[in-house]
Amino acid sequence: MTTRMRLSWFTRVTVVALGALLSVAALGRDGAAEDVKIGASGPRTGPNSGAWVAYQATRACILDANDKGGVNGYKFNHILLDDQYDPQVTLGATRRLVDQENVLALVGHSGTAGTLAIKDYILSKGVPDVGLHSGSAAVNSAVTYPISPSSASQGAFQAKYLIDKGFTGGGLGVLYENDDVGKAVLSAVESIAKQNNVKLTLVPFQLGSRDKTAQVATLKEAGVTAVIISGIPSEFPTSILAAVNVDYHPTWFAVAYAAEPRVMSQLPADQIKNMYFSWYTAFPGDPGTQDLLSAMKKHYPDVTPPTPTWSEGWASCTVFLEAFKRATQGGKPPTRQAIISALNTFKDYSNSYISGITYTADSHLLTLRQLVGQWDPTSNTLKRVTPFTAPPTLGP
Amino acid sequence: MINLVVAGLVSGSIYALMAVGLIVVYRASRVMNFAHGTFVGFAAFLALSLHTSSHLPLWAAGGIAIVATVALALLTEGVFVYPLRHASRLELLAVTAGVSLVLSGGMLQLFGTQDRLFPRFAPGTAFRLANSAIPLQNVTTILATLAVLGIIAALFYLTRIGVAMRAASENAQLSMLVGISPKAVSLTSWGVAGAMAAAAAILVAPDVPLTADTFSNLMIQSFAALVLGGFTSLLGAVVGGYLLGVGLNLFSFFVKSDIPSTFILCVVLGVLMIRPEGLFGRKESLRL
Amino acid sequence: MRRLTTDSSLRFRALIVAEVVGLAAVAVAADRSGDYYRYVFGLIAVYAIVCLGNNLLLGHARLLSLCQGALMAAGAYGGALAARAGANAVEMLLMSALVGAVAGMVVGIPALRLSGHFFAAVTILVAVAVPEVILVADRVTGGATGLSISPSPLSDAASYWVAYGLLVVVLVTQELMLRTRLGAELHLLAESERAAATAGIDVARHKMAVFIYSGLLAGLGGGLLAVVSQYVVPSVFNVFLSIYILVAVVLGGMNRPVGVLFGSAVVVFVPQYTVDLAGLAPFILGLVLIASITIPRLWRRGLQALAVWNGRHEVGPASGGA
Repeated sequence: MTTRMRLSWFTRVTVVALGALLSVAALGRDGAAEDVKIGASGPRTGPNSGAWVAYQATRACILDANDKGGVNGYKFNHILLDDQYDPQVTLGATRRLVDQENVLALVGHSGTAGTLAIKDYILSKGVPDVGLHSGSAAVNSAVTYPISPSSASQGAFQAKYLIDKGFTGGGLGVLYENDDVGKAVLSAVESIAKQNNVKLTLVPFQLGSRDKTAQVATLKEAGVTAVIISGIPSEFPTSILAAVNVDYHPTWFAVAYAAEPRVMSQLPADQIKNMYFSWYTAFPGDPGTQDLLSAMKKHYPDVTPPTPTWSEGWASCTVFLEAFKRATQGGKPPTRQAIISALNTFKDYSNSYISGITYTADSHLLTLRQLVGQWDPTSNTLKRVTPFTAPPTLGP
Repeated sequence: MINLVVAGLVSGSIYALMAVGLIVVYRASRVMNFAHGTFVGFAAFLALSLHTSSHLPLWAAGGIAIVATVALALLTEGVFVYPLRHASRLELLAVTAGVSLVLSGGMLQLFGTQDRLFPRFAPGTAFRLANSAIPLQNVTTILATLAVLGIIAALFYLTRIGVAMRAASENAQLSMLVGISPKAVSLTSWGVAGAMAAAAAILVAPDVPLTADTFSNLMIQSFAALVLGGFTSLLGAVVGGYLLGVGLNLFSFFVKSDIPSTFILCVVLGVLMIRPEGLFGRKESLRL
Repeated sequence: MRRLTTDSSLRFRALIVAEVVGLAAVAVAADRSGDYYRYVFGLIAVYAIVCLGNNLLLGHARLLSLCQGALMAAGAYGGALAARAGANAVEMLLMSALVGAVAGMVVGIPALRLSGHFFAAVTILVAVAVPEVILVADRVTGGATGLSISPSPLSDAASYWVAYGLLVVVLVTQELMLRTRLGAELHLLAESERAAATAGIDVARHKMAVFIYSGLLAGLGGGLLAVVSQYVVPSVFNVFLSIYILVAVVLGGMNRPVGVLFGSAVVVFVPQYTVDLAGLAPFILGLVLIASITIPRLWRRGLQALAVWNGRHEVGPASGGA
């Protein structure tokens, strides 16, 4: 056996690089910056990259606030990191934001799986997670402040609309990813269907499963005439294409962020006319949303056309700015605790992007008013078909 | 029910095309080409970008994508794989995995990260069978796949270089006897694999939203098809691909719809426990 | 061992001491550099422990396993369930290691029957199937919501030092083991299975033992990861975790256990430091992986050319290759 111990070139290079990194780390810990640091990690790449546009809108809003002189004399340094929709990376990125960058708050964060991974950590550090895009009850904690309506209230809203419009003659179906969001939607739809004596067919799928023919065939076989789809945006077109394959034409319902313009333009028109989408913010272009349109045009000219996801990202930022304003009123310094206390004073807070936000010290789950829209292929955007309506109340 | 089988055959077509591409390379260079899925992704993104941004007709965009992917495969062979032909299998594997990582990172920069969808080039219904409408797109995909596989079979069994390619996996000297250098055999194999990757891309793309990692998932299923068939057998890979495609759809429909990978694992394990060399494999040492 | 010269065993001892001192220095330096560095270097230690098992598996049993992430999941869930049932830190980590070892044994059974690539294929299928099973078995595992182990049986700082302590123990044990008779047998097994069988070595038993050992370390790593994160969710244990672990082992070279420390460092550092640039992490990792294979060969070939030019026929042993 050889006893010559030689380190490979690779090992040597790594030793030097690690040494350099560590010394940089030791030297590079600078003092307090002038701007208030905030940030978030999100799926810039990875399976859920469709949600990234919300982060761009949040950032456009922060930059817009800075351009207008900041809030109570403070300006913001907004740090965005790519977590690839991988919870382990989300935890690492969040640790970097909190431990290294010492951010005041996470703003405009999205993704239930990632939020679950960081939940206990940010709670232990007392870092508020403001304007979170997740309706999952499981992420609810003393420091998470979602702006999405709870998944349950979204599911209930969609089910109620389909039933009221008489689309559920052959029964209601739910095609859902078997994660926490999917299950919350499911239990809400179950309770609404029970109240209205509608037959229910439930079909789960795995994240990223390409061929959903079997799932859709199950729904067709059961004679279901209206289907709610719950999952990340890329699951939506695979479901529709599977329906095309099995010659199935029910009424579809999904949340608006599933309607990605690039994807919608390739789906067959006879399926598109049967699709409904719900959202809970103003549509970009509605009265009072001029700031959003001009800031997006300035900072992200390539991102078109406008979608409700823009408003959702922008709304995260407005909620944070309002909390920051309240926390720093009268010259008080911005602290994490002050932001949390300020958020707990939100009672039916509204602006031109979002309305009816109420947080209490006990619960941060929202049941916002929502509306229904359809895709308009000629303008390549969503068009609303109902006014804002409150979701139905669920039984105990 | 018939639609389920047809859709399963479409999935199976993709697995079969990708698995055969993997085998062609494996026979020539003794390596599982981890970059094959990224080749497929590259071809799909390139064709779609040319079609939507440069407004080329679909056939022209597809043609350019095929040429570009063949070039990419040849480049990989020439720069990384052939110079390492005396390295261990594991080193070769690591290099193709490296190429795959570099390419997927590069593709994110080139093509962006937003989901996109390829247009369906054959809309409408082909024919009706027992009260089910069979979409023309599905029929086209299956027939086109069989045509591509037929061409590959003809290449392997009817041409001199094909004979050399088949021989190469067993004995490099044997191909010299046919009068063809091992270098030429290796290059041809990678070129063929590149073309097959592009073909798989064009056929699968209308059925799946393109994201940067769509094709790494498909790689795992193709890998399963390959192993099921016996690793080096072309026929085996095709049979394995179609078995998995149809079997998975039937299992998801009749039994349980949210454990596809577990089903595939059980099928592969079950077959390998009975036949450790796969359905059509021969006993040979495939040690690392 | 007798047949080793005093000189070489002296070198060996010096090397072991150097490794331990070096690791301790890195651990202290990272600890002093702030909470974030402590987290990142803690993660490196966890990866390194898992990689040590995979190093023996790949380098000596010549088994390519792409399911170490799934074995980590087994350990993490085993440990988390124990912690939730009231186990203390020691009991929890023991549970993790035990569950990992058992899972390793189960996955290892096909390894005895299947040859190289067939086995690798089965392991990658295991890697994608395990998170799926965890999701479906939500009554035990909490499904997609995962399991919280807060309050954690170990504080942030304590889990960091425990990880480094365990890493030192495992590293030194593995180095020492490779110098025993068992180590010699494993070296022979790495060279040629047939030769090993001829020499009277029970190949199947050795392979199985190595697989259980790697499962034990993966389980332990999973348990540590659960402690560090205070949370286990199935999506953490995706197929990329297994692939990154394999990349770390290949990067570190398979001939020496200490190499995995550097491989783990690269695999943890690169994604952490490129989170602000989309696509850069795979790009850089890919380049490093390619370079780690090609550069040593080019270097050796250069040396050979030089030797020919000098009129010599041979250069020294072609060691040091990654």
